[in-house]
Amino acid sequence: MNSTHDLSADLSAEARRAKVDRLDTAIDHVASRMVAVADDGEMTLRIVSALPERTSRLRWLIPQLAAIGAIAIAALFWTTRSNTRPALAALPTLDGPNMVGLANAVAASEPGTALRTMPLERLERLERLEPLEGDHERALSPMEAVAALLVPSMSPVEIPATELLTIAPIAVSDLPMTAESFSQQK
Amino acid sequence: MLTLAAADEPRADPEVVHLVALARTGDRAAFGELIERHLTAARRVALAAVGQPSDADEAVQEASVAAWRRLDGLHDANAFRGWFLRIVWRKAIDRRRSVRSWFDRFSSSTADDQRPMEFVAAEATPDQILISRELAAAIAQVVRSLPRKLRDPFLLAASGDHRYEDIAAMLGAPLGTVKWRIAEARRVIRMKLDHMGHGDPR
Repeated sequence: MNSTHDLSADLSAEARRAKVDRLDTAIDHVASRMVAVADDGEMTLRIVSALPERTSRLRWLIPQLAAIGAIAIAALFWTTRSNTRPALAALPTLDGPNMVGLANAVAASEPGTALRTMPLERLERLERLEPLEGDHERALSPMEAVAALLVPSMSPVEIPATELLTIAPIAVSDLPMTAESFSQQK
Repeated sequence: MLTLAAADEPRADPEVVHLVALARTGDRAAFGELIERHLTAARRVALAAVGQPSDADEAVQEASVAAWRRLDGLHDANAFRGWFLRIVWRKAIDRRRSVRSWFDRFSSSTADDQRPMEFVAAEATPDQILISRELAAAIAQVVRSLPRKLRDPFLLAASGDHRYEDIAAMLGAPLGTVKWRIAEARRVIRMKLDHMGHGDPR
């Protein structure tokens, strides 16, 4: 009984294994069919005829390099622009005629104002000055108006030809013009 | 199980190096020969990404032009194949993401779904043929419904052109992740087929 059962179990396992193998084979076959391609003898020719011209791998760098070069040249020109001066003319040599001409030109020219070349000495700091308060009590007394010169009008014919013309002295009242008239400051 | 390409490292091929050197000088014929050598693999890679042969061929053309332009960026001439296929994959992914491709796929999805799968055993009876065609259609439907993270490595592996390492490089994913995704894709396919009545009778 057991041997019969074992035999049927073995046959069943064998059949199951066979079906599994057949299923695996079917899966492999179908999968390979799904990626199968038909022969196309002219495809290579089509590909080759559609190939573009080969270019250098660095060709794409050309525009960038050109732009960088232009910027570098512009920067170089800009930085050296201020230092660029025209070439100096050759100074005249101190030979005979040139020396005479130079001396004449110096002699003919007027002397100019001498320019200060020495540095100025540093000024000492000035003391601060306090403003003076007005001393109204001892201020100058008001000055009387100067007497007007009284010259009588006369015609030229009235002037004596021989006598000197005398003019009366100008009388000026007390005018405190001396230092003694000022009071001492406290 | 899926048949993967040989796992040995790409050997130095003097002819490839020579062709790459010629192509770098502008030799179109040399570049065409390089493309011709890997054209089928490139078309399969693109087809795995976009699902439509016409889109796949356009992606391969765009990738070829891109490779032609970037040929100076290829440091190791012997690595041309992997380098070119990675460009193809990226171009195909770009095309898959484009709105136009979505519209095209949507409009032609019905015809593509009904593309006959020639999965018939040599000694199959008429009933087996019918079942096999049903099974093939069911498998194709399940594979298309897989998430992209599972479907992409699964279909790339199904092409039989690439090693796991190549697939990982193309997808930009770790090798272990790629292996897990392929196994997971197979598990999900089997589970869905089981739900559809085509699975393993337990």
